[in-house]
This record gives sequence, structure tokens and C-alpha cells, in this order.
Amino acid sequence: MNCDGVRGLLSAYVDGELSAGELLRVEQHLRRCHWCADEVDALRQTISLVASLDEVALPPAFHAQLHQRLVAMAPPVMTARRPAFRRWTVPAAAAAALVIGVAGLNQFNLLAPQPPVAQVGTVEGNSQLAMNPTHVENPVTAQEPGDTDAEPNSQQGGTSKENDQTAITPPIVVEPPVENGGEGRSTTPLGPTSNEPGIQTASFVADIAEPASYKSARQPGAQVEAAVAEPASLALALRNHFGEAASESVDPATGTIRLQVSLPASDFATGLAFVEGQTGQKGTDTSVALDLAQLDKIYEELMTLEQKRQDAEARKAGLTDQASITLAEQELKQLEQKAAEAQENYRKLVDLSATGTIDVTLKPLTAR
Amino acid sequence: MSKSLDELLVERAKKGEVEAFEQLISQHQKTVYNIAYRLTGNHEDASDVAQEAFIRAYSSLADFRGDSSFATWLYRIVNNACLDELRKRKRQRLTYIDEAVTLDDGEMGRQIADTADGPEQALERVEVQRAVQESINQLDDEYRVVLVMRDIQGHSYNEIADALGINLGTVKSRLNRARNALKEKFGSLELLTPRVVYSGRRGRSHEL
Repeated sequence: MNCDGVRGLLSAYVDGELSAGELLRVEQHLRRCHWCADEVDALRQTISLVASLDEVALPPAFHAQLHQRLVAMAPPVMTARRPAFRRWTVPAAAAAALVIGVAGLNQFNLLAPQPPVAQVGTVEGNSQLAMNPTHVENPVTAQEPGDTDAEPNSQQGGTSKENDQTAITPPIVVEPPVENGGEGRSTTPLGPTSNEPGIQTASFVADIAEPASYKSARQPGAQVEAAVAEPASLALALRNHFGEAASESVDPATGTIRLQVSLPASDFATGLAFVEGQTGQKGTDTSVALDLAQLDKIYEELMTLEQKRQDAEARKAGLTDQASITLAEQELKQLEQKAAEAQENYRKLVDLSATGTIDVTLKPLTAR
Repeated sequence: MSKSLDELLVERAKKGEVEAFEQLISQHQKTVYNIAYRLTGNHEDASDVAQEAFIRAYSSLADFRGDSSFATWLYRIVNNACLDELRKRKRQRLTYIDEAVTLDDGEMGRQIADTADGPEQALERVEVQRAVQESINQLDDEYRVVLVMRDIQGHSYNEIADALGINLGTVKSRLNRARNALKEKFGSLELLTPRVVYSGRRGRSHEL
């Protein structure tokens, strides 16, 4: 092998990453060629210099800044209308025997788009950070003792250490798009904002996952019909199981009992399985695709507000007289209010999508 | 069924306890920062990227199922955050290498210079490190990333290939190019010591 052939392999040679055949040829060459041997030496020194870089110290403000940001992360997406049902466990044997098959439903991850493909920056490539179905338990954490139902509308964020019993998964962060010259960080073009004392407004889109992340999601739904000997006792069994999630109505004329069980997406399949097991009937899938148009609209609105917020913050940062600053703060407050409304609407829509209904009809067996 | 401290902290952090999360990452903060610093080349970006990485880790904690160690999982996120930053910079065409920043770096460097050296040696060491970092900064992104992952973070070729989604051959060639580029630079900066040439002697003239 000549020098040209060897040069390309020297880096791998130094790392011990050559194949046996390559290694042999390189070693043979190096025995004869002191130029290449020099190269190896220089290469080793180069690597050594790089590896010898001292660890730099953490900047003094780092820890405090990070703390601020973590604490300021808005509360996770919570459902307002989650029924206060008990978390139940399907007996393992029963669960194994039941078929769980609601088309298009990803049982655990209805609201969790796939692994973070992190692209911060443009609107299109906006990060699809994994969103946690925060108003339902992640199955991994679902069985923790002492878990009670999550409280609707609780503003957790940084104070959640006090409320240990609520299982709130950490919030979601989506970077605002960086079109017009923004730097794509949480700073305004004029410099950092949220790190300063007297913290200004936090990003309006910090805890909102963009509509695209729901693309594959469906609002679950199923229908189960059964003719049973004793509808009433079966209905009772179902109601005991689902608690307040189930509402019942009876048709006195026919004795038909209708139940509607409202479940969050991640519990839907298990709940359906239970119903199917109890009734001995398979359910019909009535799930619907989510209408993203509405979500898109609200999200756009939030983006516009967010841009306005950043502009306003930037302007405010450049002000010096108190009067102007006060005006600027008022402006920001108004933006905040509008954003809060939009966020609320967004969440309601998401919640709506995340909840599905199992429609159960129990007819009495007619004996002839 | 006792759990490791990490497992307990992860549980609490998943519930939104910021303090638990901070404890979890406390031993990694410096390393993460350093990775970010070596890849981005300046403290301002390193700070942003490192914090961004931790924030992402916090928000996607629910995805962490404990299949790997927390550290492994965290560093994957860190690498992605750094890569994103580099990609973003490319789009924005901003350069972060300027006098002011390297000066800042020098100051930081002085803080951690080995005090066992005399003041002259310490200063020299800082200068060398600054020169090395500047040279690294000048590498093209793809080369710099592979270099930092190999020679600073110590990943294997396979790990690098996996992390970056490129094949082994690409890793090898990029690493080769990166190191050669640095070698040239270091040579011209007189940071390399020429080898003693054994003239007129046969057989091995160097250690393998």
C-alpha cells in the first residue's frame, strides 16, 4: 500500500478501528515509511491536544437561569372536564384474554407524538417534542400507591412539590417559530428577558403542542349492544366499575338500559375491553378523526399573539421612563389575557378530542 | 423493592417537581455545558443550548422509561439540542466567533488553569487551549460534531454513526478530515512537536 492509500486510514488506525486486513497493510507500510509515521505522530498529538481541553466552568448564572426557566414552564395541559373516576386495574388474566382493537387508537399515546425530532426554528420544522398525556396517567406511573385523581384546572408548574398526590407529568415546551430575525431562543432579539428580575411575560406557546402533533390522533368512540337476561344488574356492574364516568338512562317501556361511559383516550381501550368482557359482545368502532382545522386556527392566533408579545417585550426592554414602561406593561397584560383565552379554547378542544364515549345498550332478552 | 436514588428522583420529577429534576441533573450540568461549549464554540450559545437540552429533558421525562440510564438518555437529548443549534445557525448564517467571545473564554480559562503550574505556564496553557478551541470552531459543522463526539466525548465510531444517523464510512472520513484540518492548523500555530527522525535505521521507528 502506498502513502496515499494509507493516509486516509491513519485516523481509524490511531483509534483501532481498522479491519484486520487494513491493519496489516497499514502497519507494514508504517514500518517502511517515516513520513507516514510522522503523520501518525502528528495525528496523535492533535488528538491529544483536543482531548486535553480543560473542562470549562459553568457560568455563574447558569443554575439560576435554568431554575427560572424550569419553574416558569407553564403547567401541563390539563383537562377541565375529566370525570373523577377511579383508576381501576383490569385483572391481568382478563386483560390478556380480551381483544383490544379500536381502530386507529394508540392506547397510551393519543396525545404523544413520536420521539422528539428536535428541530427548533422554523414553523414547519417545529419541534415535535413528546407531549405527555398529562391529564391521564402514563401507564408506567399509573399504579403508584396514593395516587388520586388529578385535579382539574390546577395550576401546578413549580409549586407541584406541594401537591405530591397529583400526577402531573412535566410540561411541554415548544419553541416559537423563528422567522423574522428572531433568534429562536427564549430571548428577544435585544437580549435575554426571562432571566431578569421582575420577570416579564412567558411565552404564550410554551405549553401548547402544535396541531400537527395530533395528526395521527383520533377521538375514540365505540358502541356495544347486547341482549342480556338482566340488563339492570349488568348496568349496575358497569356503573360500579366506571363510577361517575358512566351515566345511565332507562327506557321503561322496553326495559332497555343505555349507558354512556366517558373515558380519557389512554383509558379507552381498557375500558372498552371491560365492557366487552362483561357483555360478551364486541364493540363497533365509532372513532372519528380529529378536526384539526379548529386547532390550527387557534394555534395561529396564539402564534400571532406570541409574536406581538415578543415585539412588545423588545420595545419595553428599550424603554427608560416609567410612564412608557407602565404603558408597555399594560399592553403586555392585554396580550396575556387574549392569549389565556386562546389557550383555554385550545385546551378545551384538545380535551374534547382526548375523551371518547362508549355507548352501551343493554336490551332484555325476550323470552318467548 | 428498593429503588436507586435516580429512579426515585425521576419519579418525582415526572410529577413536575422541579427540585427533583434539578437534583437529577446536578451531576451532569457541567459536562453538558462543556459538550455544548465545545460544539458551539462560545459561552453564550453553550449556555442557551445546555439549558435548552435540560428543558427538553424535563418536558419529555414521561418518555423516559428507564431502559437506559438517565445519563445516556440525557446525553442523547443534549446531542440533539447541540445539533439543532448548529443547523439553526447555518440557516441564520450568524457567526459566533468573535474577539469579544474568545476574550471571555480566556477569562474563564484562567479560572480553571492548573494552579500547580507557575503563572507563566498557566498563561501559556490558557493560550494553547484558546487556540485549540478556536481551531475547532473553524471546522465545518459536520466535521466538528464528529470530532467533538470522538475526541472530547469519547464515543465509539458506532455510537457516533447511530447518534448522527450516518454510516460508519462517513464517520471515518469526517473524522479523518477534521483531525487533518486541525493538524494543519496546529502545525501552523506551532503547537506540534516534530518527531525525532531515525535516519538510516531499519525496522520500527515508532511505537505502534
